[in-house]
Amino acid sequence: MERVLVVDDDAGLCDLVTRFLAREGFDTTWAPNGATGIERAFAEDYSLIMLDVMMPDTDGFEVLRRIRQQSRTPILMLTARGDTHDRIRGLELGADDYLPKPFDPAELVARIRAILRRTATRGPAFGALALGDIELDGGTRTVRRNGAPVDLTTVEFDLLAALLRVAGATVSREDLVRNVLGREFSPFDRSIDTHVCNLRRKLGPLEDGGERIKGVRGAGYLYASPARPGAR
Amino acid sequence: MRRLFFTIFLWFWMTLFSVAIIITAAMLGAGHGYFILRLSLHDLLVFTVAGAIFCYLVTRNLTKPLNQLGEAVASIAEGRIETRVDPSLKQRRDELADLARNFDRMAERIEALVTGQRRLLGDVSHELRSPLSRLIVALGLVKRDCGPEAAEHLDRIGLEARRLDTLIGQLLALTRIDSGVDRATPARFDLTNLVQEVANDADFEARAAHRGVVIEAPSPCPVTGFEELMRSAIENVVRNAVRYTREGTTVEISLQVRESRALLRVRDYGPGVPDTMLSDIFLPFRRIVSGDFEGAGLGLAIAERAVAVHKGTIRASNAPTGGLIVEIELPAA
Repeated sequence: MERVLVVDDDAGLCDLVTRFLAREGFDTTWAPNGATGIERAFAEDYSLIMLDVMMPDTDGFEVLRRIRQQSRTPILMLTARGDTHDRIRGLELGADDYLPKPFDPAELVARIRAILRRTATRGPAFGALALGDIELDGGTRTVRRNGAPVDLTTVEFDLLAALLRVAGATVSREDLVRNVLGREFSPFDRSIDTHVCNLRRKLGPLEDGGERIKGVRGAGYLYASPARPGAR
Repeated sequence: MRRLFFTIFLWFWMTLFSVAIIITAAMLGAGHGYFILRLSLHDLLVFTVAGAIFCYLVTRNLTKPLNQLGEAVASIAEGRIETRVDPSLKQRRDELADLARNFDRMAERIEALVTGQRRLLGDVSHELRSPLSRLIVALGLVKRDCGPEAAEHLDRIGLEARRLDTLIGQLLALTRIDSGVDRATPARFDLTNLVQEVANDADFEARAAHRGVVIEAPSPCPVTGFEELMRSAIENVVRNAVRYTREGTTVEISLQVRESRALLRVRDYGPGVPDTMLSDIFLPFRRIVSGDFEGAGLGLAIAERAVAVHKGTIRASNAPTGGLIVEIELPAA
């Protein structure tokens, strides 16, 4: 049984979510505040953590940052609908995905399943990719730039791999959402763009100062490349 | 530069005034056969230089605090509401110190209001949405327990709950724009790119309803402002057009740059709006075309406020061949 930790101050909601998730085969533990959440996250092994970033007495982002310092457990954060700042900040701090509150429980289950699928296939789906100053190792899931390791979240790693594999060619946003986030594309959802933005920031420009990941207007994104990368 | 100007200005008039007094005194004295003052060229030079230094000091004493106050005002205007004037200013013993103290009181009050507003927004959002969150999850549980005969009604409850959520979101968005709570420093962004992104998403959404969105946009069009705010403005206008355009028709978006103005035009093939109500559609909760209740009311109002923040204009007109045209004009920079 997959174990899920819910960090949210709303006891009523957590009770309902626990019941809903139980029917879908998830064993849910509740943490009513950030401190308990961090404690539980470190003490036990969970498949996924659901974290409300809008708790009144706790800074959800601080909780997110603390958990991320020590654990790579997938985190689904719950944000206020329409709050772009929260979404961007959370994804930057290493959340795997976000779900605006109020959410349809069926949608919640779909998101959880997508994240678990994504992290389950974390094995060496491919060997190594190298292009220019970037080396990507599919086995250890590490990325090096000029030999120095770059700290990427799981989503950012998958995103880079997806773009690097077909460097020089455009990958549509729809395909990126489907293959990297593992869910169907929904219009006006800008999370994939936020991930691209974070990835750009972490990798910096190309050695010649050019843009590494280009946005192709109306089409998607492409990793700038004179030639296709050689798979090793 | 201004300080130098004032110094010279003050010095000029002071010198002129002194010379006038000296000449008058000399003339009066000459009339009575004696001189009040005997001035050599050297004395005059000393007076002039001393006058200039005195004038500079007086000017500096006045312009320095004014500059400090000016900087504080500008800083608050740019959104750094925690700014206060330099403490040295309040230790002066003149009217400027009173001004500085009053300025700080005003700044404290503004800060309290803005933080209060911000907290209220957060609380309202949280308090209204928490029961809604529980309601929607509970509904999900009910849906699994009930037979198919109740499904239709339960879906209806779900739909209404989502409308309520949308409305809360729009109300908050509108309040946020009006209070300016999340406006930081304006930044440059490419309007063409933004419009293209919105158009792509809108087209994706429209296709599901057998409608479409096409766009005709030129080369990049840099604009200074708040990208996310502008995105919500354009998104609201375009989605409104998609909602009202007839099945099988395509919403047309065009972006033109003319004399440092960007002109965005969104045209649908829907029923249009009665001519007398064309400006009313930008008012909150003013729904013109009856029957369609989805997302009623606040989308165009949000667009209007967001465009106003960017010092632009928005207006609506009916196309001669039917359908509504919404035009947004923005200063390009």
